[in-house]
Amino acid sequence: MRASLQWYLHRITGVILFFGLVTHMYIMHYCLPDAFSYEAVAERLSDPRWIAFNFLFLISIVYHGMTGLWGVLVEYLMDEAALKVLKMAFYALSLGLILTGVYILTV
Amino acid sequence: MQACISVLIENSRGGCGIINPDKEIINMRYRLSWGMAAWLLHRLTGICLTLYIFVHLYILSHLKTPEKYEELMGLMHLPIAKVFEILLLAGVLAHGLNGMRLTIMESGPNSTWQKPLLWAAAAAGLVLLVFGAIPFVTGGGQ
Repeated sequence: MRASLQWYLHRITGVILFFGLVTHMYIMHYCLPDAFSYEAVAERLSDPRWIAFNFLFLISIVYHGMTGLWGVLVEYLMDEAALKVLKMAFYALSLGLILTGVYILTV
Repeated sequence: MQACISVLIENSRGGCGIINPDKEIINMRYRLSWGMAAWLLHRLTGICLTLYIFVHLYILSHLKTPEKYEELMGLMHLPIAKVFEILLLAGVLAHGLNGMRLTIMESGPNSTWQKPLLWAAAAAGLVLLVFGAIPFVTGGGQ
């Protein structure tokens, strides 16, 4: 992926996460006293709009977090071969996180 | 040959320096500016929050029954969980507000905005941390 596109996506997902986290924290911790109950969470997750919100949140957080971590790593690790292996590991971990998130949201 | 010789020394102020052939000490000590502190904090909170995603999703994937869910929620009342939640809130606020500051700065405003925006983000973060931590301490936010 071109570095400039990666940079833009990092910024865009960062802005999505900022507003997404405000919503997530407000709903889960500050809005209603029983927003944390099993029934309330299950009810929200039966609403397609909440599933869409959480899915966008999940994609954004995995992309933003993993590219951020990768950016730190390439600053300190100079070994090209090790970076190639680690890049594959990052892709695998990202896929694992997204699949886990989809499992939480849908199963 | 003598011109090439420089000696790494410890200077009297505790930092590192080099002494050049004219016996002048050139101070190389890093000075921690607010901008550098914000950069370091952004990086540290970013690493911690990314690692937290793994823990968060792993735990959530194991809460598929009401019994398991209530069992975990019971643990959230422990003092250590409260401390962790407040630290998490602090990390999220620091990373999120500083990230928004960086995004605003990179979208083109005059560089004179740099410091006021940094202070505005820090002030907003402190206020939100104090008010945001209240429900965790009192138990209202679980």
